[in-house]
Amino acid sequence: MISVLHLADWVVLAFVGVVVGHYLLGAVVALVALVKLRWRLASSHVEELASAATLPPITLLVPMYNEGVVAVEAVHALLGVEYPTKEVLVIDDGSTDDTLARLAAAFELEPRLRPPASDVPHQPARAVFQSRTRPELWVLSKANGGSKADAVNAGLAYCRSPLFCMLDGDSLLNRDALLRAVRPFLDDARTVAVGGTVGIVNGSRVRYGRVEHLRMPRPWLARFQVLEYVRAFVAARTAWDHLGALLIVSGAFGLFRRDAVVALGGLDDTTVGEDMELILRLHRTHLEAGTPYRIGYAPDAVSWTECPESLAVLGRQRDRWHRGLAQILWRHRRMLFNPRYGRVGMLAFPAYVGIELLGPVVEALGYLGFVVFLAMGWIDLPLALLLLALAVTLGVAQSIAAVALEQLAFRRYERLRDLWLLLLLSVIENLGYRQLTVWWRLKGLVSFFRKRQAWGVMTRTGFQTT
Amino acid sequence: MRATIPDIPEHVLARVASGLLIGALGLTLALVVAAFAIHGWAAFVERRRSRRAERWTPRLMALLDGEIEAEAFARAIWPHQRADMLRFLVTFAVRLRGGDRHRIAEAAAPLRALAHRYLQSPSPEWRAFGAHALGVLSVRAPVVTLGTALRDPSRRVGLVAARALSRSADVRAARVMLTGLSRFGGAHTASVASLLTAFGVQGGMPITEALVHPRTDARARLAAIEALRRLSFVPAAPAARALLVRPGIDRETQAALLRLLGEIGAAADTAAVRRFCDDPDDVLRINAITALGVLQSGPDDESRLRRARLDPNGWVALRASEALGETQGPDPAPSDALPPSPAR
Repeated sequence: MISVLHLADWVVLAFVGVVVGHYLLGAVVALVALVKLRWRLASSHVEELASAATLPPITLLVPMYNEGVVAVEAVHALLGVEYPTKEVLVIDDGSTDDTLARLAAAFELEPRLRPPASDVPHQPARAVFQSRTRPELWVLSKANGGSKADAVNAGLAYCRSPLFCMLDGDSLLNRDALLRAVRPFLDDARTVAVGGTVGIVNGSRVRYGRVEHLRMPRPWLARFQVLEYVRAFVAARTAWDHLGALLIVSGAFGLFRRDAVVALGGLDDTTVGEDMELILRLHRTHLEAGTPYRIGYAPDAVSWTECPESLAVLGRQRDRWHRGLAQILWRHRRMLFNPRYGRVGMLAFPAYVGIELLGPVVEALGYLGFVVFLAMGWIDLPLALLLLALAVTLGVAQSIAAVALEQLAFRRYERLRDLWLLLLLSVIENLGYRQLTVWWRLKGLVSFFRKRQAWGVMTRTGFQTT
Repeated sequence: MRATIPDIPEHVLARVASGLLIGALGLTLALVVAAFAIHGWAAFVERRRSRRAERWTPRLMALLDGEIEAEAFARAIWPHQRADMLRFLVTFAVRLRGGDRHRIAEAAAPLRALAHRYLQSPSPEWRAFGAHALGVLSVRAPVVTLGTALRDPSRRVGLVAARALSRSADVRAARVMLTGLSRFGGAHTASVASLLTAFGVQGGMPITEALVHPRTDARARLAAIEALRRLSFVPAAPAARALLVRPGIDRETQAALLRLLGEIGAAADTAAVRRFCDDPDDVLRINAITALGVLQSGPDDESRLRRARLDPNGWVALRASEALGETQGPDPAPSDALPPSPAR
């Protein structure tokens, strides 16, 4: 038994070391990348890009399923995005609400003939409409495919531009988001995908499809998610991008080269994490074929999204995300510690398996072990509390580092009270919220083993437009 | 098993954990201070910048209206304000064209030394900003300086320098920029082509020379061809024709040349185009038939186009039908039978 306890000591110490090292190193790498980005932004003006360069046309693929509440406003916002050669293609994925009717009324949709431009499998299309008032708006009505991947695949089949942008039905793009996201494609012809930043819009004032005043949301659940998004985008993705091993481009805002995705047969609709799966497949196919490529991240290109405000919806979302992560990492397990896949296989993939996928398991075992060992009298309470305090403090330090990086590079939350709140959240998220996310992620793992495929329902409340 | 797992005495573990905890708390505190310091500093800089911009904007408007002498504009500022002023002028200058930009460039003359200093910086991002500022704020593009920046170890600085040179629309700058054309092979072809197009028709001849130069690589050639096509630079047709039949030219370049000849060519170019009408590569055939449709110079070409209507590739057949003006004819290529769009 003593030997087992010693082994547990070492395992816990090693895990804490790896996790802390990973996050702190990530923060340092992100710092370097963001300082560079600040200077890069000083020497390139988006206005100049919009007026001078010949920009590749982009089709915005907007899958919608029962998004009647936000559909019209979201499309208005997308039409207002500054980009000279864009087309908005809404894919109504067999909605059972009035999504299509609302769009038809707001934009005077008329039936049109539009044959598919590429052969990507998807559920059959019913009709194609074009707006009479905004000719760059098209709506594709199709039979429900049960997944976002199928809807995006349908859009991809009908897409005619060299680049396409994958969005969520309720995504609000910043006015200059496309101009900023397209820049890596112009600077480097090897680029096949670029991810943008996704921020949380709950609580902020939206007017004419534009986030006018960014504010912290009022519900605590949404506030915790703001901190999570800051941590994920400002620190983690920036660092992975700087290391050339980015594994995720969010499906809520990602720009892709159409031919590269069509060559892969589109998105995989058998997984619930189709965005990450696509990125891993892009890495894998290019590295196996030895074709030069680049998958980048544009932290300054921002899209805003509504986050869940109820425990039930958030729980389902996290369950789905973790299930998707498990499916994808299992499917591409060949890449794990495989030198053939370079930094992706040797660095990013193991980090995702060890920290993102198994993190909740280790954390839950830690909580359980703490209680059991304490009850059995096997551990010294002061020492255990000391180790717990150390783990929590390092977690807090990591969150605060992400907030500091956000302030350094973007300063999107301008008010001092928002900054206070973010710092406070870094501490109090450890008292309940973190444990909840561990529970949801564990449920996601269990669902993965049970091979569940459901998406769950996302309830929209609409943007605060007052 | 037991022998392989070293025992960690609890007092050692406690001491290590305490040390780490103190370190972690110190780090956390330092990060909190950093977050507030950054927030405060950024707010201060922002306020200072907008205060200065508020003060400078009316002066800038007066400068553009000719009420203030260009030489007097930047001379009145303190040395510590120069960096802000440089950014302020760059931000305005990129939005302006012609005489207005010229006037801002004249006013920025005292600040160009600062841009030159940025260009010497060890940081590529600073060097890029220096090249950008020099390009935007120069009355005459500093061709030699920017030409040197074209060969900067950072490809990004090279691209910024190329953009700065293209802004000058000076044929001398075009020649300098074209010497570095193959360095931009990594950039998007359309992007490089738009830089070349910025020189206007006067850049056409140097671009044509760069196109046929034996040391120009394939991607640079594609950019040059695209630029000539956008400029509709008809004098480039003989060079394009000669390059099309030169051995060792890759298929993507040949397809681009066929597209170019389809737009700027003449009857004399049909012989070169005809060679590709029966090529096994679908993309070359499509472009050749399209070009031949435009350039066709006699019954021979017409019968060739009629034959192409029966091509197994639907797109080739469609182009041939379009060229013959028979899209409504008896046997048009139905859109349902078309394969996915050909690569361009």
